[in-house]
Amino acid sequence: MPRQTPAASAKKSRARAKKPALPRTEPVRSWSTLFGSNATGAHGAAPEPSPFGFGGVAGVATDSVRRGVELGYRVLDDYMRQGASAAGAFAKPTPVGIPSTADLPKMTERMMQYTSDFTSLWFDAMRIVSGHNAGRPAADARTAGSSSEGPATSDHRSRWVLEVRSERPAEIIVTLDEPVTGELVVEPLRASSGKKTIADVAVRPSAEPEGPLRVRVHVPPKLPPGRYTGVVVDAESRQPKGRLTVTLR
Amino acid sequence: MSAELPIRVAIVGGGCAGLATAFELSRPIHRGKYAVTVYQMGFRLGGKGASGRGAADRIEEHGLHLWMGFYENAFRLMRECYAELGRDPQKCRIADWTDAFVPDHLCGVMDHSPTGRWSPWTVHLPPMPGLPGDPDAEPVRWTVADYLQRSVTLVRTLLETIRTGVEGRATGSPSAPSGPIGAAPGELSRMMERLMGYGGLAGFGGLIQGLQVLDEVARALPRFPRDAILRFHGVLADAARAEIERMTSKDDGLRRLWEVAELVLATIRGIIRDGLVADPRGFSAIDHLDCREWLRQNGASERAVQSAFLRALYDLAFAYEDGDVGRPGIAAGQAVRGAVRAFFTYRGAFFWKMQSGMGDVVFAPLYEVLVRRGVGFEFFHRLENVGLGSSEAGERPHVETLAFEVQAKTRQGEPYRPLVDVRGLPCWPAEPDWAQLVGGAGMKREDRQFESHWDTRNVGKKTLTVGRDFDLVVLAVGVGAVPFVCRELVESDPRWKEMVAKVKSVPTQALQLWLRKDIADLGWKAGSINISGYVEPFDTWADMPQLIREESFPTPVKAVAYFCSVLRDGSAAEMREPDYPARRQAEVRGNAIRFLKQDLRLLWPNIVDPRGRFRWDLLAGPTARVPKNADEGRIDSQYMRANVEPSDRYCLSLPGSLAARISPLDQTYDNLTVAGDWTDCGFNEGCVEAAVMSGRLAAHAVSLYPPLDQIVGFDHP
Repeated sequence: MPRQTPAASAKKSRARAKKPALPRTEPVRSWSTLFGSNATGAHGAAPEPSPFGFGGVAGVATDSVRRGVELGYRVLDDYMRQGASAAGAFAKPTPVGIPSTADLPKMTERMMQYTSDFTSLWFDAMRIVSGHNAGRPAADARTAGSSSEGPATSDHRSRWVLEVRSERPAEIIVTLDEPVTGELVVEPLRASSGKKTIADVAVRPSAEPEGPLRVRVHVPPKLPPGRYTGVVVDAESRQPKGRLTVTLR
Repeated sequence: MSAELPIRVAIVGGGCAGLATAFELSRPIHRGKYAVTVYQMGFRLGGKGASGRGAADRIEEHGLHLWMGFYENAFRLMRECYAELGRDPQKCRIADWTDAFVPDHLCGVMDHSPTGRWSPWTVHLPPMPGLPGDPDAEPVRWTVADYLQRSVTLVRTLLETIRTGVEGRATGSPSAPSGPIGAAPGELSRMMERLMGYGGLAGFGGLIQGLQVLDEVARALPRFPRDAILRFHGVLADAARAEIERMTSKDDGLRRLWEVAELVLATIRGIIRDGLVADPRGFSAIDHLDCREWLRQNGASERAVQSAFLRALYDLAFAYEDGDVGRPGIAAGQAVRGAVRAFFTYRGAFFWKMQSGMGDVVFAPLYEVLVRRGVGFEFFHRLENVGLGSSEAGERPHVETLAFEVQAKTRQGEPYRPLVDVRGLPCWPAEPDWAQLVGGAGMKREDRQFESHWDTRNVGKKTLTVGRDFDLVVLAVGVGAVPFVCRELVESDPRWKEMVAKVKSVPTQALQLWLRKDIADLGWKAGSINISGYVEPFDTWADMPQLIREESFPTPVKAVAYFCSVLRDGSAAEMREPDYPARRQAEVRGNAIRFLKQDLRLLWPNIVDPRGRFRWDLLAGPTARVPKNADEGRIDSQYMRANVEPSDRYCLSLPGSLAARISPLDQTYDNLTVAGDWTDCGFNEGCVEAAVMSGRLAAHAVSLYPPLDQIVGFDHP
């Protein structure tokens, strides 16, 4: 490649070049904090005092989570930029070293996963920062065997109807950030690694104020163990309202 | 080439970090968006990793450089470099990265037993799947929780090994730890209580069962109260200590295993006690403490924290403040991060050995590829000052000028051609090619030291100005040089002032020996090895037989041995003296003679004659001339080096200092970024990997490429 020397390029005047703004400037040191893995303790109906700084309202704990959330935003932003950059690149001829179009589905997959993970963290964080569930219903139901149907468990705030079909023992966690009455859509639940999804899921509030919240999860056969998470969004506004997590053992 | 004007990037310093930045910014993906120029003091690239070919083609290094199996970024860089270089294996003996780096599985430490006896402890670290630098399908997400589980498994393995040793060697290898016991949390809590009861943890059986329970608990930490886990851990550790110490006290091998197990048990306790699993700072949360102090706080015995294993970790990181071996110090978080990366994430082999000088297998290929890509190199440019410009209101400050001393000019103004051919392999020479320089013969007579801070002779000055000569600056000099070349920056910016004050560095010393006998004949029976934890002045030794074929000694050489260690720092007043480098070099020479005469016999019993005198005649020199003096004067036929140059100093990771590091991603200056293993680059310890990570981060700061998740290990606890 012919080289343009500093002197040659200086012949044309221009504004002083500057470094670009960066999406983030620190490493992510704790994925568990960032994306709400098991270590976040997101497994119970009520927040539990935790020796690891989660589930309580102590200053250190909330500070840690706030920092995690802040980092989470930066990471997400980073991936959004990467996506934009890649999209720009696809519009041009593909030089050596740039992602090929074959990478696009993978990149999309990853971005969806990060979005899903981050939403998961956000709800965990809000619960911790507020110190309680703030009126949010939550459920923790375990089923075993090939199929189960019918009411499984309920917390002290709401009535629930769980319809779970799974070959493996499954732990279901539904977290909604506020009482909901409208129609909800659940994005396909994505595995923390790999491409497997659980698509046949639904969360349906009752039309009546005291009516049960219906949750349906049909796990495809032969799905590997793991944690599958998806975002629950309001069907009309498309605003995130919560998340649904299925842990297959 | 892009139709837009390229952004001119001046990279000051051609070590690992600066060249990694140049490699990233000159990638074809950028389509020539960046016009990169590397400014280098003296005649060669490489910084602390630079090497040169001297008499008889012998390789002269700054010190011992071993690449570790977790150097993902560094190996990725070299693999790409060799692939792009496309050398013909018929014409060049180091054509591929696998020719340049060879797995090395045997390592060891020198152990000083309670009875006062030194003995080597050698370990064969098994090959692990994959190769360093292999592309991953997905970014790896390391977590403290994963490391915690692996640590518990490691303790179980160590105890099983000790049990095998104690209960009967005839049983052969220890059985692999069994898998999870699959108990529910409530059941595990009851098991912990039962095991803590009288006799529950008695004997190896009880201990192993206790570790199985701890393993299970570690997999679901938030479900258990921390106090309960710590209480269980404490009882378990006490029981293990009571059970095992007595059994292992008379067996050095088992005692060493128990010392390592104790250190890992203390690490487990510390991770739990300090809540590192869920701390957003990861291991950095304990960087204010010294590693030994942290381990003591978490129950490690004094014998364990003074063990050969831990001493070797300090030695390998030259972790002695001011070079004083009485003042060890390394930030606990980085030490743990380094240890878990080294032991749990290596690929292929724990160590990889270069098959020639580091300059030849790393910096020559990088130089060739970068030149092909159009990167410019300006040798003989010594940075004097980084000048700051005045900024408009609301603007971030920026670098206005880069002031250089020009140490030499080439004839006809042609680019300096720095490499020499050694039997088909492009290599760096140990001294400049005087013939290319204007007045080169005279400079040679004057013994110009182009790489010396103390030799300021030059042929002129050059000031680069922003907008005219460059746009962006990557400052990639060694940390020791920063106070001298960034005076204005340090004066005006409190963060830089704090960084210079807190991020300390130390001089090091190196000794290379060429021998007429191989190490087995010299009495070392444990095979080719890298060993640390020995006595000062040279605590680390690496056997380097692979280099013999690279060199052209007139008499047969049977062994090549590299030694290195930290070197006591000089005072500020001493360092101002013009003869300081020469005096320190003489000191290292004296250290080498003393080491050979007094200490080397413990490693190589046959290096002394029957009367116990060192056999100077076993040293092979690069010339055929046999010195009349058969005594210690022959040390001068070997290679010694006092690395006291500011840019050669090794960067420490002292407790409480890492927060003062400046990141390559720092946004304070709108056209300046930093690169080097002294920066806050995610892995804050002096090594090739940190330098390459930092260089890649600097490239990201300039171009947003590579993405941060492709800088392996940046996002790491």
